[in-house]
Amino acid sequence: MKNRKAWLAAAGLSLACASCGGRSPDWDTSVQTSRAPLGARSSIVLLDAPAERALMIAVDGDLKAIPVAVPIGRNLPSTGGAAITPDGARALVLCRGDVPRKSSKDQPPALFVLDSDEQRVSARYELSDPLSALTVDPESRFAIASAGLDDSTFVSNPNELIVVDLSQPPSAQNPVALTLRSFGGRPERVDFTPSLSLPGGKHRLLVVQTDRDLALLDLEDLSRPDITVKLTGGASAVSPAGFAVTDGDPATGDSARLAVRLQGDPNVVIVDFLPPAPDDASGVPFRPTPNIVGLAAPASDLAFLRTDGGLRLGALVPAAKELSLIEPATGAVAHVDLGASLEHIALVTEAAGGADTGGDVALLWSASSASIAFVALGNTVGKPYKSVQLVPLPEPVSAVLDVPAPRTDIKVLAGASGQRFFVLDLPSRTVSPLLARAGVDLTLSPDGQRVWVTQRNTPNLASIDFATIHPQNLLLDRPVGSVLDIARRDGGRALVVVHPQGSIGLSILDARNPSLLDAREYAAVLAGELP
Amino acid sequence: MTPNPPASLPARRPLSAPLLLAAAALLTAGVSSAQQPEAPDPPPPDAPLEPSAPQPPVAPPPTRSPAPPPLAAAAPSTASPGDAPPAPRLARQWGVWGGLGARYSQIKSTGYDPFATKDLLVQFNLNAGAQVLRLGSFSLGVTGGWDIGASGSTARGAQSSLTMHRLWAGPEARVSLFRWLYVFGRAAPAALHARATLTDASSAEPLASKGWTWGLDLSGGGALEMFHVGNAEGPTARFWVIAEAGYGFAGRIEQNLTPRLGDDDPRTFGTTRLAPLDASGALARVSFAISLLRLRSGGSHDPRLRPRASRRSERSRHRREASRRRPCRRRRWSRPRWWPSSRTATRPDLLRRGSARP
Repeated sequence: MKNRKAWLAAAGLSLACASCGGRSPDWDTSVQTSRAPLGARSSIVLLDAPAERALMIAVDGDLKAIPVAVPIGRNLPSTGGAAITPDGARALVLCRGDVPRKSSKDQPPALFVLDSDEQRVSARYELSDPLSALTVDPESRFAIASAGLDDSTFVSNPNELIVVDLSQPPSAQNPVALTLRSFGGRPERVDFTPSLSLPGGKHRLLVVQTDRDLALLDLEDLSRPDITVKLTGGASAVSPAGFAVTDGDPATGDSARLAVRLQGDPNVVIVDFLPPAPDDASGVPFRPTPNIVGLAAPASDLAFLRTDGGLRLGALVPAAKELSLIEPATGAVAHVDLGASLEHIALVTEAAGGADTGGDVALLWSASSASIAFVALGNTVGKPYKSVQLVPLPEPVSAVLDVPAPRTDIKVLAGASGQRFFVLDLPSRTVSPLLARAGVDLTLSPDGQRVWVTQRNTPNLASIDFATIHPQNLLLDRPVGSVLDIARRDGGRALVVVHPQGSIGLSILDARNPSLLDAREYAAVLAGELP
Repeated sequence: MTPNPPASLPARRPLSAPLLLAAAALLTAGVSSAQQPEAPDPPPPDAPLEPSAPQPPVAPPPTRSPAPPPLAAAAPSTASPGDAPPAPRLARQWGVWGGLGARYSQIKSTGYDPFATKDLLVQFNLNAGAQVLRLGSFSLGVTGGWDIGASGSTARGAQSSLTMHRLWAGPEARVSLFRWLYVFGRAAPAALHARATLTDASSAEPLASKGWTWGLDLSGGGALEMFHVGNAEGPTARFWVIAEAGYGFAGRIEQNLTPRLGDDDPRTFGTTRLAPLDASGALARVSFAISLLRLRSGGSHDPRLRPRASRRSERSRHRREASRRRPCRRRRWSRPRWWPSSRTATRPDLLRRGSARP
């Protein structure tokens, strides 16, 4: 009897051991629906941080989703840390890894590069520090990792930047960790300049705005030290609020310049790039030289403009309801009365038909004044501009959306109330108002043919074709979170509507001919493709 | 699935392929009826109750399969070495069995992860079968069954469930070690059906997928008699507890989940792809079974399995007479020999019979 009991006990123990295996911990994680999906050129990217993966979904010709799960690292920043390169070809995901690392098995911080077309991880750059802010080069070559809100290590250096050259494979020289020389400030914004004709040749600069000065890094040679541009000679600290850059005008002999407007300060700093001093041993082939120009009030936006008299720095001064044109070399200021407080400026020269007039055409708008203005800086006889055309609108404009090529002659103006938006035809300078319910979101298609209008957490969706300005309304069966217009595998285009409920749902429509009749729905997307 | 208790008396039986096929066809209906060869004469009444005594080897008929070799570990025959083989005696019998229990399957497939936190699937089991042939202490049967079980869990916050059916049938070989104990082995081809559901907030309707695949269980185990009722002249019902272990092979079932829509729903849903389900893995089974036995004519040649009343009359008439004088009622059920009992332990005659235990 004892033997029989022993056998039964052994059998039970064996059975218990055989069945004690658990499942993958991914199934016990929750789904984060707060992070917005990324729309790359030919796939969307759903970041599934709890499962340490990204789900890349392409669309076939029959609107069938082609999901591929690619692994990413741990500890994705709660906000930011992911972006699409401006060319749409790659998605960049910054992972902080295991903080702190206690063993060799712990993940280091890394930048993952996901290829949109091939739906795979094309590169992985290990970083020296777990940083959480990511800035992408407008030319899709560089990515900058810097300190962000999630960086809460015991000791951190806010002036540390990690520059990743995405055109080069990972190596000992790529990425490069840099520490900015600081006079007490810390970086607040990182921007890239286009290629500039500086002493020593063409250079691209990294412009780092701190809370009290400006740092310039030569992206062509990161071994060179950064240059700090102090914005004031006095004891009071001023903060940069924005900048504009120009490569100069070869026709008039103007050189490259950088202009900085200041927060709450009526001055504008114009930086000239001169050859280095003879005793300069830093190796930097240029020497930034700031000049301060005083205005009537703080500037709200800057842009370099071409006029008949040469290159001018245009500074919008809403308090004075004027556009100040500053001659960069001398600092002389001419005033253009706008008749309204306009805060933002954008060049629309080619689209507005001003390319052959010798001067730029600028579009001005405001979030507080219900009007826009076109300023033509062409032939000037006795005045520093050709014309100012003020166009009143029913409400102020909160944002101007640039329609991608080939429809760069159109801009979409989002009303401040969220109940109106306008399609601005630049050649004819007509503004077509469109009415919507409150709280609409506008999403431009990358092919520049349409704009998608959605209302968050409602099933409403509309498409507006720029050729006809005809809205096509659709009512989906689930609330909409975001929409992404991507290229299909067969060359067409697909609209992927993300429903942020549960494990994420999708509705896929033909973007060029949206219809619910041939739409394809998906549910519990993030429950699929798990290993 | 439940291994089937031997419901027949072991007897030498030559193999015949046509007979085997015919018997299998009959037994899939749950009942077997087999023509018994002439059985040898029963051993002396005082033969010990031991595992199947090896029968003297007999040259098989030319057209039949060779008989298995005698069991080397069996107890010595009660016949003297010089005796001629006992004249076989015609016997007819049938035997069927049925049972219910629980099957425990280890499923390590990642396709099972959404539906359970552990790699274990418990299924309820119903089975039935019948005997095909006997050869000494060896017998062969055909048995079939149905396993049904479900597992539920949460998969990333969504309610998930998996229901699996397994319909199986296959041959089962048994060797009786004692009247109250036998061991068996079985190969059971099966058809598996799995249905997975996922209830997620991203869809008003639950997502579901279902599919069929093949399966094959290779298992072995033992059965222990708990008690039995009946006597030699009537049907005998024996009750067993059975334990079994082995390995189950299975094909993969794709799990592409999609909401179940009504016929008038115009929407087109794509699938949510989970990892394929592979139900291969170790298995164990615990069950209870009943076997029914009926001798149509003749008796058993094997003293181990002859009814107790017959053995009693042959062995000790005086003891039976004494028992008649006792004012006790007739026992309608019998304990197995291994069943502990203080009354049995105090009876010297039963203690002697108990000495035949292994």
